[in-house]
Amino acid sequence: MIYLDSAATTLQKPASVARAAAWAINHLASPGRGGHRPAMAAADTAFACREEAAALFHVSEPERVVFTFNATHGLNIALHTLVKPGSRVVISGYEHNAVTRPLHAIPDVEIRVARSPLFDRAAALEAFRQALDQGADVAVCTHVSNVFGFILPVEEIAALCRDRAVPLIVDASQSAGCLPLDFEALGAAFAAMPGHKGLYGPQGTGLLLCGMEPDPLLAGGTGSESRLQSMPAFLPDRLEAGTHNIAGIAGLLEGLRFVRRRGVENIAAQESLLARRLGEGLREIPGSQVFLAQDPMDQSGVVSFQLEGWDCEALGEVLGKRGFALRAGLHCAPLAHETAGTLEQGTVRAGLSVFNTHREVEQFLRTLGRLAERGEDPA
Amino acid sequence: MGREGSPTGSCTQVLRDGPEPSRERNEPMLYYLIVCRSLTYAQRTAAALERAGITTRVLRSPKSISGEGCSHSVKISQRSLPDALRILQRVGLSPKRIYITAGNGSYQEVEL
Repeated sequence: MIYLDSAATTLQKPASVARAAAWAINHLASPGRGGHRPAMAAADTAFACREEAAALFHVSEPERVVFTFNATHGLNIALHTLVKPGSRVVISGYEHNAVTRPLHAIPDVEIRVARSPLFDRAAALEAFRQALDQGADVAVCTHVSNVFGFILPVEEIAALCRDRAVPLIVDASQSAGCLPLDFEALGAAFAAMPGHKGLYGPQGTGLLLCGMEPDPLLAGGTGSESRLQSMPAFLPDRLEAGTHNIAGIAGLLEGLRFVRRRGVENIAAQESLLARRLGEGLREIPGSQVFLAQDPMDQSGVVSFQLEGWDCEALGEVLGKRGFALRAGLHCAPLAHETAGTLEQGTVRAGLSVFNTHREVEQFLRTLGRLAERGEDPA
Repeated sequence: MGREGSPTGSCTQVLRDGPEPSRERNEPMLYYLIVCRSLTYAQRTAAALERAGITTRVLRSPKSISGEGCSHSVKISQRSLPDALRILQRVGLSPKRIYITAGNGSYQEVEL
């Protein structure tokens, strides 16, 4: 199997990730829930993970790094904190359902979509400027489109928000570990990210970086201030009710160490090179429609495409049978497809990671080229 | 704080060192407990002190001093307190409260 679905989750991980997670299951107890050795060892692991993430994303204090179940969980906390009934919220035209569904669940929210053409960073910035100038209470922007790999100008959008005192929530699901992200420089209210994609941790892990005091989504035991019947006022306890996924956190710690050792800039360069070769190779296949940025700096390691005469799901299915793992359909982001004009057809998406090789890309292109020549599902 | 003994290189000092040595009879061990608002804050406090060469141990606060129930403290030796306070002030970490023990199980809050 050649795995090209890292935009959903990375499957190939550094060996140390599985080792640490397996070790944790039998050796680490619950952080903060006891003074005994396994509990304190678990606390050390959790703290090391927070410190590693704080260093990678330039967060001033490790307690502002909160463990979540995934990026969706973090985004829900952020939205729950900032968006109230009647709020005016500006979002990009490339948001995932993890943003749009929670927003639709809050009554009377005015959702203003800052639409802009694909891979046009200047237009995205201008759309945000116009939308913010109409008055806004909150802004939400994905750093990278999970469908097209479009890198939005999040630094510039953050500056617009700072100038207007509009709190910004950044969805870093596709960028964490793949592109540089300086949380302190952004001055964002929150940034949410999964642990299991570009950070190479296990599924069931995520991080929420907090630039402001959040409202908890869950209430329960924290191992602190137990006599009080309200959640602690301080981070990270305020947001971490219940037992931690310490095995996941132990794995995520190793993933973070891997990313920092390898260097985010190096990872970005490698994935960009692979994506460029993949996109250009796809363009040479008759009947293909490839969503490739003119400037490689505008696209991450995610490439979407369509093949004439093929339903995207059918093509994904056939590719799966041929040993290639890709994701087809709407990728839980109908808004992004609507913005790009692909809502009806959907796309097939290749999501690359640092573990993919040029050889794998060439093999994939050869297989797809043969399928395109036949023009029908041969299965 | 120790960082060895696991595949992640993370393990608390109690794992590395084992139980603390027993005290000599008639020789009460004096130490301070810096009570912190959270476990993570206690870990930050301990890490800052360790970096400056002060030996620390993070532990759950004794029930009698834990305030609202369940907190964590950083234990330091009696002679380390002046340096510790200076370091914590320099790095912007403020202790919630500080207690001293005389070794007989009682704790007395220290005015800062």
